[in-house]
Amino acid sequence: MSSVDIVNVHKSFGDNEILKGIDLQVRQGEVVCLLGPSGSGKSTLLRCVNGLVMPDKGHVSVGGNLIGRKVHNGKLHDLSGKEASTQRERIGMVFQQFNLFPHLDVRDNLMLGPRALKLGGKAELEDKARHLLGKVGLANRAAAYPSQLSGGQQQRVAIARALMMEPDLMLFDEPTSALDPELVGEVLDTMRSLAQDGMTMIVVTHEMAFARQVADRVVFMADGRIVEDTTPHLFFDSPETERARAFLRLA
Amino acid sequence: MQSSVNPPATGLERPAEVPDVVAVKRHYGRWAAVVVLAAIALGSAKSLAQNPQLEWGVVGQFLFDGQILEGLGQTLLLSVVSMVVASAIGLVFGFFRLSANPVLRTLGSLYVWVFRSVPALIQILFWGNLALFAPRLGIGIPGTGWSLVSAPTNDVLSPFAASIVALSIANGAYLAEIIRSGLLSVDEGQHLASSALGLTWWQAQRKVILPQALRVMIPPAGNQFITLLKETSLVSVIAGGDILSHAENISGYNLRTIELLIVAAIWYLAVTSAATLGQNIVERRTSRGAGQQKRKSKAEAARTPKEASL
Repeated sequence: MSSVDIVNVHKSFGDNEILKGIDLQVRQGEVVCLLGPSGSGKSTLLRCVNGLVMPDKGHVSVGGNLIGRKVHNGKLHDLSGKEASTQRERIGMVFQQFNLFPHLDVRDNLMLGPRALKLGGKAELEDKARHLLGKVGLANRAAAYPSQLSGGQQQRVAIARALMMEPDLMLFDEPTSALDPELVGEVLDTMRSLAQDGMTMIVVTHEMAFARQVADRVVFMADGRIVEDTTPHLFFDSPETERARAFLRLA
Repeated sequence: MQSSVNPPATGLERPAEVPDVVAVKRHYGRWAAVVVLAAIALGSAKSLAQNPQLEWGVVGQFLFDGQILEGLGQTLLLSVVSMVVASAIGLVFGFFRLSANPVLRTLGSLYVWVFRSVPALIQILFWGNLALFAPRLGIGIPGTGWSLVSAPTNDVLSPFAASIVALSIANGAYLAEIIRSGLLSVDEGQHLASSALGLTWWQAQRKVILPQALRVMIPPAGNQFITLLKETSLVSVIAGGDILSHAENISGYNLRTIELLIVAAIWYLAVTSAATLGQNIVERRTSRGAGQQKRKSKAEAARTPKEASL
């Protein structure tokens, strides 16, 4: 059974067709890197997976559950806000701009989600937060505010915040693109260890070395379509399409 | 850097003798202005103090008069209650104006448009004279004549209650705009991050968006409160029971109009000064929080590279 099933997804913003019919399956425990030039629809596709963006046509299901919609009388109907929120609990997402909550310290950033959704007692969640901060190498920064942390530290906190919800699937939207070069490594290391723990991951990235080493599969997108869907070895060493070869020459 | 040495300064043209001392700047214009302004102030104070038509004894006599103090209490009560109700109204209509739902959005715009455009004085007169065209107030089903409860308007809506309704609705329109701009100031990424964590819309607003918007909303909301404090004087036209109503009551029989206006003015000055001071303290506290974080983060930044390499 595939964990993520994307079927014929189309999405336009105004007259601009961003996704032109995407089909993609991601199995449990698989790490898939989405590569492609900017504007190819990678981030939009990623947001369709947790329902932050709803497709105009087609559907996405995660673990067998239709995301953001239900079938009624042969048509798709939007779920209520509450139902859609509940679906997102188990899908973690990490953003390019970190999007930590600036008015809360690191510990409260981690606690906010699970506290609001009553996923455990206060003491239990505090233990979990401490454990996860240790895992991302920030055990001593629990009382710091996001503005007091470097970009790399902020992004590791954002990963720990997503892990607090015990996700079955993690989505990464260019997690290192806003970082100074010397801080990229610490974030990629955290992601690598997450992959080794068996987390299902979809990663939009421009880090070719990471994709080559960590990904089980590389999906190359251009102009709203999937152009190649293959192993990192085949994609980087012998790309089949001219489009991919052109992309790799520039990257 | 160290290897580059300036060549010896030969053949340079220099002014003959340059002293090291910089002259102190003297602001003669400022001193002249102070003298002129002080003369004007002294003259005005003297003419006010020595004016035979003005009896300062009467001002002193009524400054702490029971009726005046009662009116002062009502003014404060009116301000605080109207501000609280106006904030609640503003929150609802602020959200309406940002809603994805076009019906709510239009409703929000209409409310702000009407109640910001009609002068507060007219709104107060309208609510104060409601009984003239709606002699009874009740809850029922429109068009059926059937009503659940109903009572004479003048029993339900005392001048004081009418004042609260008028000021709350009028100021709610301004607060809706303040709250809307505060909500808009919060980064879009905060909404995305809250949604991605599985928070519902209201949970995200309460725990993530509003606490951040509040920081932006405090200064203009403080200004609005000070404006409202003074605006309460308008309710004297419907005998709303505020300090000015009481001052006018008193001058109605002792005919000391100016003296009692001065009494009211002194209290407004005192109360608005206190509110301004309070606003400054709150503002400094909120901005200090942000400043401290920034200062600390600079100190952190100096330390971070080491830590990252560990």
